[in-house]
Amino acid sequence: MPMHESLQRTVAGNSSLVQELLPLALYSAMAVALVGILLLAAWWLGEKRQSAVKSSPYESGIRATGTARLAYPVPFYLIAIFFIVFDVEAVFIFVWAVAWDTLGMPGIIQITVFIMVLLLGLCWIWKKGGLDWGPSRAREKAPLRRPDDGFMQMTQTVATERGLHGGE
Amino acid sequence: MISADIWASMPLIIIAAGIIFVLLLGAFVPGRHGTITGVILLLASALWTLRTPPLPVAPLLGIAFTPFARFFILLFSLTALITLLLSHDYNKRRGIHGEEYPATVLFATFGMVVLATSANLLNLFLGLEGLTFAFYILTAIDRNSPDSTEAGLKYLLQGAVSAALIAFGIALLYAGVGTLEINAAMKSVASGGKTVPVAYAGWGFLLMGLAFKVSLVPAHLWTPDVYQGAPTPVVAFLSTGSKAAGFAALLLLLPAMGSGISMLHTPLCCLSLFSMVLGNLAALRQQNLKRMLAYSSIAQMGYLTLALLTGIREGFAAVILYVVIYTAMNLSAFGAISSLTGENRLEDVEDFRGVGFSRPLQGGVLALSMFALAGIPPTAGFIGKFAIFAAALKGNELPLAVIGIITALISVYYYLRVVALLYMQPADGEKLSNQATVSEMIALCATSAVILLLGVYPGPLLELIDSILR
Repeated sequence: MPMHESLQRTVAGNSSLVQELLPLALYSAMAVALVGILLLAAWWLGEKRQSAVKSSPYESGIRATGTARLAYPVPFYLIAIFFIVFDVEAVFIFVWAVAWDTLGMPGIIQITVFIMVLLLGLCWIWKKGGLDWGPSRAREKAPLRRPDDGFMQMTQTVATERGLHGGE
Repeated sequence: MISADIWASMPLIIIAAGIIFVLLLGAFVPGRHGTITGVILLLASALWTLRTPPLPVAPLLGIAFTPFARFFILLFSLTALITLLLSHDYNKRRGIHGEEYPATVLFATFGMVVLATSANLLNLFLGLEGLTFAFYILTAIDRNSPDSTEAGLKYLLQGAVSAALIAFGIALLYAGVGTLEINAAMKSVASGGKTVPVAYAGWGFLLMGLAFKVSLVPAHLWTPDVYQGAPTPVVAFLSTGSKAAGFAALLLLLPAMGSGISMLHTPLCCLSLFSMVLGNLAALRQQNLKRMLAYSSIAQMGYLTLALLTGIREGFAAVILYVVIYTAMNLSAFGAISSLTGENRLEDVEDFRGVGFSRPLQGGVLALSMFALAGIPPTAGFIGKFAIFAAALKGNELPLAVIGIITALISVYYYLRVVALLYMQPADGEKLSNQATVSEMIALCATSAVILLLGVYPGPLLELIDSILR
């Protein structure tokens, strides 16, 4: 039974707002209470002695060495994002595929448009050099303009300090 | 049936095909063709909209090509067109290149058009999120400026929350009334003087999410930072297009509720009151012109909400009228700022000292838009404010209307301070401001013409607005 029907029946049977919202209120109270109890229990049962190692960020119980800010090749993120886009495309195609006969001709047209748009998107990424490993062709041809606010210089200094190859 | 669908969605198809065309053109033919292609496409969609009579609902797509939708498609297309004209040379100066920019502007327009034509809550949500997504990208598109990145991040984080609120609100509305069709759903939210509590809760979430989109207090916190950091032509578009879209959404939903709108009276009153008071008072203290305009736009949204919550026909007409006027005013204000911005950023109010003499066109347009925003006759701003407060009085909102008029009087101070700086003091030394290029001149002249024309002769627009309200 759809939810709205049951709700309307509730309203028709007993129009009291309290009755209808009681489950919601109970649920909210339980959620808040559970979180509160857990936090309180952790605070109450926990050891309160402080030490330098204990107040450092948790790193599997081992004393942390070095910094967490490593230079990481950006293409990983690009590829990951492209993957997500086309992965989600597959999800939509599956949804259409299981009901293709009931959706009929309009369904075919719609899914074709959808696939075409993403295909043209792929063409665009490819042509722009998004699939190349390393700086894109477009970037090499037209290097990033000198920044005016010292933002890039700052990151570059940080990178050189850490002995990494920075910036351009 | 399917051909009627295509007919009704032609402006959408033109813009959607245009986005892909602009992207591929940019990739295969290097150069800056994005702006001119975008302008032609937007003109095409606007002309198609003008020439096509309204059509009933296309059931397959859940969109309706109503007179209301036609009006807003036209408004959004022209707003995007002016934005493209303003940004072409600004982007060249600020080193923003690539076809992504015009394509994203077109995508935002696509979202707005989807929203205006939607006959279904799902389409409404998709349109709203589509346009906000485009604005996340546009806000952060100036990769040379940390401010732009910061603005983009702040907008994205808060925008994600508002998207969640809207989606959850729509889900609760659906649970309460059992349909996603806007007119049917809105009618049954409050039928026979009895509200469905779950739908009421849904409206609460939806209203908060929409308040974020149109930056009403207390959901306004992103506005000053985003306005300050984002590229100025983007702000011109954000402060007009996305706000107009937010109010288009509210205008699709609220009039369909009939007398049920009274259940939203108190929340809307609070939003309007706080926005008018806080926006205007905070704007008094701003030294950065873009930040000041951000708070001013929060206040202007408060006025719009004031007309909206009356729930009478005159109120809705005043909202549409003021949305059009506000679009022209803010496009000129931010357009003038962006065309004055060259290699150097020109943002502090003090930077504009004497610019009225060194750059007569841009200074004049900026001054005109300040007069209009302050609501001084014979500009359109006066007509708009007059319509709003007249509607508020007619809808028995005397206390709010009085507070609104008082805050509007306070706002005159900070608007006219800019005009005073522009003209009352001579320029000290060589100004670093930029000379307007041809496309910027066209855009600025067009918006100023609208401000003046609607100020002296608003009759035809008023009749048109009257005819599109059901």
